[in-house]
Amino acid sequence: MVIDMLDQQRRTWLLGSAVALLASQLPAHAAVSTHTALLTAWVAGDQAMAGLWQPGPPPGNAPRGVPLPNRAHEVLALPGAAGRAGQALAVARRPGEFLLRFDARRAQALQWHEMELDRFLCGHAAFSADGQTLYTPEFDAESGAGLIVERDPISLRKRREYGSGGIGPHAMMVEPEGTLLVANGGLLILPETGRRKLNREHMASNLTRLDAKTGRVLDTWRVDDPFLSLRHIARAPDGSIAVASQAEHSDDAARRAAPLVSLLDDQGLHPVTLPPGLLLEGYAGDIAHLSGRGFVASATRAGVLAWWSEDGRWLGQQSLAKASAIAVRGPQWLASGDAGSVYGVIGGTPLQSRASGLRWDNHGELLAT
Amino acid sequence: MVACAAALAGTPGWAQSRRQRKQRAAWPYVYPSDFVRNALQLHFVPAAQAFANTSAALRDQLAQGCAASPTASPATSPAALPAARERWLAALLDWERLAAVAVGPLIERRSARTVDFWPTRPAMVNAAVAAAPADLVALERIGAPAKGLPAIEYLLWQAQPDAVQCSYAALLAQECAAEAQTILAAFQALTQREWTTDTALPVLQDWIGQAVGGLEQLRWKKIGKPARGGRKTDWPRFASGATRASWQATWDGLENFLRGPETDETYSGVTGLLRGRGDLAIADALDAAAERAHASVLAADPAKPATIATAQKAVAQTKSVLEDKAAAAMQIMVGFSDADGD
Repeated sequence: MVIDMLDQQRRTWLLGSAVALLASQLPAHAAVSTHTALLTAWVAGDQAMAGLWQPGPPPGNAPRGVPLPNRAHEVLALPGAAGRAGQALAVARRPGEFLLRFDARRAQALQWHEMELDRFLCGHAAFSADGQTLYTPEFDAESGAGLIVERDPISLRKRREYGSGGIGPHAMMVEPEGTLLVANGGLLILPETGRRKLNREHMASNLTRLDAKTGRVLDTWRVDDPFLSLRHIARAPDGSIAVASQAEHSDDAARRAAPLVSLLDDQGLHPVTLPPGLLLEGYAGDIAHLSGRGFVASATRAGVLAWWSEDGRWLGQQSLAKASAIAVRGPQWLASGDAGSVYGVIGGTPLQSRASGLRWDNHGELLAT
Repeated sequence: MVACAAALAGTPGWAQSRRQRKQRAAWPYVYPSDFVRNALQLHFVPAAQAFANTSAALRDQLAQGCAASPTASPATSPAALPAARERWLAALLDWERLAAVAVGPLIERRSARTVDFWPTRPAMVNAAVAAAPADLVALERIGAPAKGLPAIEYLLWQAQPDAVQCSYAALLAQECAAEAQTILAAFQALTQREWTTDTALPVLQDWIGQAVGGLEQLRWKKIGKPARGGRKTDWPRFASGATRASWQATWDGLENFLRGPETDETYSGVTGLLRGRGDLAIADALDAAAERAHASVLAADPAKPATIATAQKAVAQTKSVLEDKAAAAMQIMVGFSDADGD
């Protein structure tokens, strides 16, 4: 136990040291692998885009993408299959009105899909393991009810829909067993009031597991704090699950100090403990798992990347102004920050870079190119 | 023609007056309670009153029938259909002006779902006509996509609406008129409230956020998205030929809220609020953006793609000033914000 604690302290210290070193000594554009690209969405001027960005020094660092009518939120690579290589899906931000399948390498739109009657997207999507089904969390504009919609991954047409197990579904995940895990944020929004939260005092967030065959709710978990809106999900290879939240407390101090990350275990969903003095400022933009490093969440307003082990031990933090998207591929990872900045490790090399004149959106994927 | 005349009314003269007002050296501080009270009395209540009047006129006209067929029962005059169309247009434009900044009862009642479910769903309207609801109680069982002014437009601009279609349109007009009366009563009740800074500030913040949303609705839903679709039937109010008039009326409602009415300085809109706070540069930027949007929306024509692109851009710039500068200066969180994450 003592050895474990010492080891933990050492790991934490090393992580902090490595971060400090990165922040202070990296050149603006460290040498990076040219075989990795970031698939994401961004806004340049007042133009929303989705596409690929090859990290690296100028002049090769301008992202290339497809213009969008409004901001996208999540952008996902289509699962590999003949004819789909290099294709991606952009999902409009809540209350979202379009899906776009596009050729990310050629920056070419392939299939636009406008939403069905009284249905709005929630910014996220997921593919089944065999790539034959696209799932989109949505809401019904009449009732506000959360939905999971099954779609054809190519035509993007709806096949069927069922309840998400709550309201305000946000991110979702297809688990290895084929079940669906949905973060129901619990906040009611309606198209006529944009993103205004209409039920803050009575919000009801949960994490729901659904049977993908029947749409039946298999399990529902809530955190004790009713003002945490569960939004994003990450899974470790050992099956550990972490959920990132946004805090909606009317009390400023409670909101700023909210832990924002919860772990799911046999006993339920439990917020992690923050180290004394750390304020995550109520907003986690993204969460991911990095093999050998644990879970990392981006606390955007605090300007922090915060790390925990799979069992919830605090590992450390690193500063990144407006930390947002976290993209992971094997040991490689990138986190986006303010004004087009990114930070992470690509090809075994620490990377600190920037695409000028743009603002990254909240999520991304690292792709081999 | 009627629509264009109504929507174009007073462009150069109105703009002059707003410009003159802008030249003033000193601006009084506008308390949130004054802003809310004046916006209600000089923007929302008059707009709601106008819609109540014109929707009642539509209801009364359609109660006389609209079928042009001589075999229609009850027998109707050949002039009934043109008269109904004219009343519909007047009601529509008044609705556009009122709903451009959707606040208060419009949101609480979700009035747009009753009055303006758009795009129109012809199959659902046809099914509702076939169901032939007898009265407003029976109409409650019909879903929103088959109701409201767009459904009436679809029916009235049939080459020859039949008696069953006209009966259904008459029932829809009754429902719209009833909704208009309820909206008006609710806005009037708001004017009777004792507004204080504490009660008015969140309302003011909410309204400015909704104005941002209204600009985005005009930019994208009503102009940009139909333009991208490329089908002429995608344009709003296409069947009646009132696309341009509809845009102009919506802009009129937005501009009235942002800059105040031309004819009454008691309410000088968001620009007056900003000037009273000392945010003169932002107020000037909002005025300038609104003037560009005014001209470009007036010129926007579905037949001229360049004018559509210009109008979209000008409305987007107005939204950007309102959201990124004005709302930010007043520390207002905007529900339609493009700046936040998710």
